[in-house]
Amino acid sequence: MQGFLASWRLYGRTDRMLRNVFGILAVLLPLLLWSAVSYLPFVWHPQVLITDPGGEEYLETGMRMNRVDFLRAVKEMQDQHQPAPQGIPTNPVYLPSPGEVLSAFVHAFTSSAPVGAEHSITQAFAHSIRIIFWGFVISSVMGVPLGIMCGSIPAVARLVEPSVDFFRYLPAPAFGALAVAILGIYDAPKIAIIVIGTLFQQILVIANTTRKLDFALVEASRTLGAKGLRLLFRVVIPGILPDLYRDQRILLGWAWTYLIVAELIGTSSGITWFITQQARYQHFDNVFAAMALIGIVGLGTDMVLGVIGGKLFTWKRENG
Amino acid sequence: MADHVEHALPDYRILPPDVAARMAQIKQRDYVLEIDRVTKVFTQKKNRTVALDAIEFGVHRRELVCVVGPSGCGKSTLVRILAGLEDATSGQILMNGKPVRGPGSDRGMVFQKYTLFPWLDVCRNVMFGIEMGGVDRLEAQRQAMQWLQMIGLEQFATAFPHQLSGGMQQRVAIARALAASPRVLLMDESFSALDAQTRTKMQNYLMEIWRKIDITIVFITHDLDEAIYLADRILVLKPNPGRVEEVIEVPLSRPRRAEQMTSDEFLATKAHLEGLIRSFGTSDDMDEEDVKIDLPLLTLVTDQVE
Ligand SMILES: Nc1ncnc2c1ncn2[C@@H]1O[C@H](COP(=O)(O)OP(=O)(O)O)[C@@H](O)[C@H]1O
Ligand SMILES: [Mg+2]
Repeated sequence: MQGFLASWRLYGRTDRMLRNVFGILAVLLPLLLWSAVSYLPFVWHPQVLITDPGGEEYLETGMRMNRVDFLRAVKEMQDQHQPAPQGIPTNPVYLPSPGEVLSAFVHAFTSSAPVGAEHSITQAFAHSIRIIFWGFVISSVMGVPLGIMCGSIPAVARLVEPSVDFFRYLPAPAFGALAVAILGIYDAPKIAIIVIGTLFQQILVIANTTRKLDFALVEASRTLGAKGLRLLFRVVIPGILPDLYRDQRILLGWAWTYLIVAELIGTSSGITWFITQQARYQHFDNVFAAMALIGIVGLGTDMVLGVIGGKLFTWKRENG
Repeated sequence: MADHVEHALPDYRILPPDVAARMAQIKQRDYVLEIDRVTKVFTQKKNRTVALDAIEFGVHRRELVCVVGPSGCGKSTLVRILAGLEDATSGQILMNGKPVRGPGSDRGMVFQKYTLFPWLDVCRNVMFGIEMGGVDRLEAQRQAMQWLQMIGLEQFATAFPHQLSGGMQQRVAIARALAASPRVLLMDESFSALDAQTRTKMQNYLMEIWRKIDITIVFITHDLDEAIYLADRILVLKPNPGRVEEVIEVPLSRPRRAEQMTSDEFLATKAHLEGLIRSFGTSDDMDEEDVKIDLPLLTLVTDQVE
């Protein structure tokens, strides 16, 4: 109990058990809230799902309407001594219950009936991941070396950083039309958008990380006779590697935010296309399942990368 | 206490015969490192600080020179110029008669901060300078292990710097610097972050190593005891601008032992150095008698503490 209180204080202490408890609560609480809103009619349920239209002509089974309108319809029918419409309280169509989303999610991985990105979460998502992967790889191949050079060579920083800073402020969507005009309508312009969205940030972030290397280490290595490429590869890069790794993790998340734009230019594709289409048909269980998939894959990747990073860079973690 | 005052200290300039002989021998050797009218001016916006003003000094081969002075007198600036990490505004540094440009493996340095590479284990840290000298990995490892044996840390070869105490880290740093086989070892307050006990041990380690190998040491410190205990000669700098105030030949025979720190020669030298530093009149941590702390009474009057 004391530990529980202490973990709420500024810079307070927590033990491992409490951390796990909080970790589980972090997942459980939002789910409980969602379940409460979905399954307890008195919490919200502002609409009524018609089960029997009764005497009212404009009603149909399966329709949703606001509760006030429904009550008015019931009253009207009662006044006219006709059978009253029946219905059950429900949430708006855009808020499916956890159960519905779960079944849509399971269905996405088990059924094999419809094909094409428009219908299959898995196919759409696989396409999205390909776009992200290539976008991020291409951006990193250019951005990481350039960032390190900007951070360690003043002349390169002076030459490169102003224009990078200029392009950084141009929103990636602004390049959409241009990318399509140059690269066609399929995957190439989409990858290009991810690259444009990530690269400029990447250069600046990594340049900064490189600058933050403890300069005393560079000086120490110089007095030991290191210079040039050997200084770069034996001191600068190993020294910044843990922070560089962390930057890459953050930038990968960044790349995901440009996915939406990328997938809507040229021929729409991927998970974004799937979501827009499903929303158009009001299949919000599928929409939510797709969103959950993105979140789970994103969180999962980041956790795996975090664990790998912790294993790789023990010296950094224990340095504080 | 009273007989301490009555007891007149000898003149610190009078060297005992064995020390005088040693001094004469040292002075016959060539200069390894020469400071040739080195001036350093820092300009920050409109502020112009003359950190060093026409410093002129020569260090003989296998000599151990300490540089003392109040903080801000340019000690670190001087040693950084010697290392080549900073350029002199005018004047030059000569290494075996040749002017130096930039840092090089002929001048090793041990910093005040712990600067072992945290991503390399102890052995790899010591190997670093050897490998930079073009030695292949296996040979470098063999030499590094020898150095670790010399400083008594061979069982820590695979430990990482963050697993070592401050004293051990500085010992490894000394080994790392020496392993690159420099002619001169520069040390900038390398022991000042250590506790008193460890520091004394490290001073003895340093002199032990220095006796065994052909190395010339320039040791910066603001601890007068340390300077007298270690040095053949002490270079006293005065601040604003940094100038050579005096060069003192330490009247203590070698090998040095802790008992010498209470000898008359030691006390005389220390008294003279203290007088010099006090005469510079800077508010430094060395003249703490002059600091009068004006504190309101914070205890309850009933809490009699003295
Ligand atoms: N990089 C710098 N820029 C401006 N002034 C500096 C710089 N380095 C040192 N100084 C100034 O030079 C003087 C000497 O500094 P320093 O060599 O660090 O003294 P010490 O090591 O003896 O305490 C100080 O007045 C300090 O403020
Ligand atoms: Mg200093």
